[in-house]
Amino acid sequence: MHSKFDSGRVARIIDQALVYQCACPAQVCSALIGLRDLYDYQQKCMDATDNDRRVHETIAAAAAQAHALLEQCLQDVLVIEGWDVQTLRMPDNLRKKSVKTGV
Amino acid sequence: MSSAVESAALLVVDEDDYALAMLLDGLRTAGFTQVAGCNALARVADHEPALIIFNLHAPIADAHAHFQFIKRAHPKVSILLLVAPGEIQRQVDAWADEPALVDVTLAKPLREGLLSATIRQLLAVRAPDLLSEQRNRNLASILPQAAVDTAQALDHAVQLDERSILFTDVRGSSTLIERLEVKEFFDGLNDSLTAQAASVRRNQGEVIKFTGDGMMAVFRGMARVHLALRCALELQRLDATQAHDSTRRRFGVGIGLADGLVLSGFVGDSTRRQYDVIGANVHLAARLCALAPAGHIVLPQDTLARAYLPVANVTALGALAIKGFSLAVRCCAIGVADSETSER
Repeated sequence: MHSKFDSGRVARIIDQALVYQCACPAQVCSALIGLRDLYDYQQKCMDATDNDRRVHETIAAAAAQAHALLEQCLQDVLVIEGWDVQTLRMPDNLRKKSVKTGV
Repeated sequence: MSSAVESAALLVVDEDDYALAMLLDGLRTAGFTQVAGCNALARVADHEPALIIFNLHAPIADAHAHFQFIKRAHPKVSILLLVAPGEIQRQVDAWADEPALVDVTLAKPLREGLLSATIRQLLAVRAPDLLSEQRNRNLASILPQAAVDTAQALDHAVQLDERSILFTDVRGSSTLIERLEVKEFFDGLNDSLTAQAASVRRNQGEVIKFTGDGMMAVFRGMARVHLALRCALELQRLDATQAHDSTRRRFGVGIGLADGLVLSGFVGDSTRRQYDVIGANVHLAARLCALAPAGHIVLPQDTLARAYLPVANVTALGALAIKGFSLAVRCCAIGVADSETSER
């Protein structure tokens, strides 16, 4: 499955969002990780019958489609929120917001 | 119980300064009063927390070994991990077969309030222990540890043990009281006693009591004479430093040291008792302290020999008749190089 954001970049985004209120991109990242796990699972699942193979292919294709859609969404959200796309540093205005909230 | 939970010592370990500051701030806002932070896993040994919160940003090669070490060294410490989903979470999940290694793992991003609620749950289980530890800490700040131990044993038994006993006493305090404002005198005296008590602790001794303008401390164990004399020499150096510091009032102290069997336990009536250490050797140390000019240490010759510490400026005082002792005691005085620092 093609990825615009590798595991390290996804983890970095999540890592900067300690609290839910400032974690919209992190929530998208969590969903991406879930889809990657789902895709990997289907790839490794046993194809005992032709029917099994069709089930796994259908799920893997849907996971890949959803993954591509959410990756584009993540890219757009990062731009809207003003993240530095090279360093993936959370913008200061969002960081300040997180400090004010509880843990 | 809740106060024991909220005043439990928490340590946050986070290599990212910003995230560390944010976590510390958030935990304090959530009501935890004893929260400290550090950047490195290796610095955990500098603290004695009830709970350690690790905010892991990336898989760590030796994290497992570190957690194992922490749990072995501090079995009562709870460990809470904050991890991002993905590789690092898979690393932590692989430790699932070792339930004693990590107490709780929370995946980031955290729902608001989840971290503090989880901490409260973890600590609530240990609330009775935490309360007891907190009481011990409170008691230890006003009593010698030996007194706390004896009180907890509940039998209030008197113990006979070998101890080194150190007495200090401010020289010329009557003159100082006349010369200084009351507050200035008390501040100076308390500064001096604080420095003396710190030196006792550094040398593994414990202050039994403050005796007006001095103190009594004891040292235990095989190296007690060595440690007691090392402490006395430290106090002497402190005194010499103060003597050359023209900006401060000098609270020069004389020091007496003795070693031998002592009785320790609670003395007093049924309504009020206090922990004390008594006996002939305690009297001897007190009497020798009375003989010591400011900046000097007076001790029995045989005690000096058993300290195994190279000492300069030793003057033999010969066999001294000490009040309350039928036999004379061969004593010596350890002075300072600069005679100007000494005054009786």
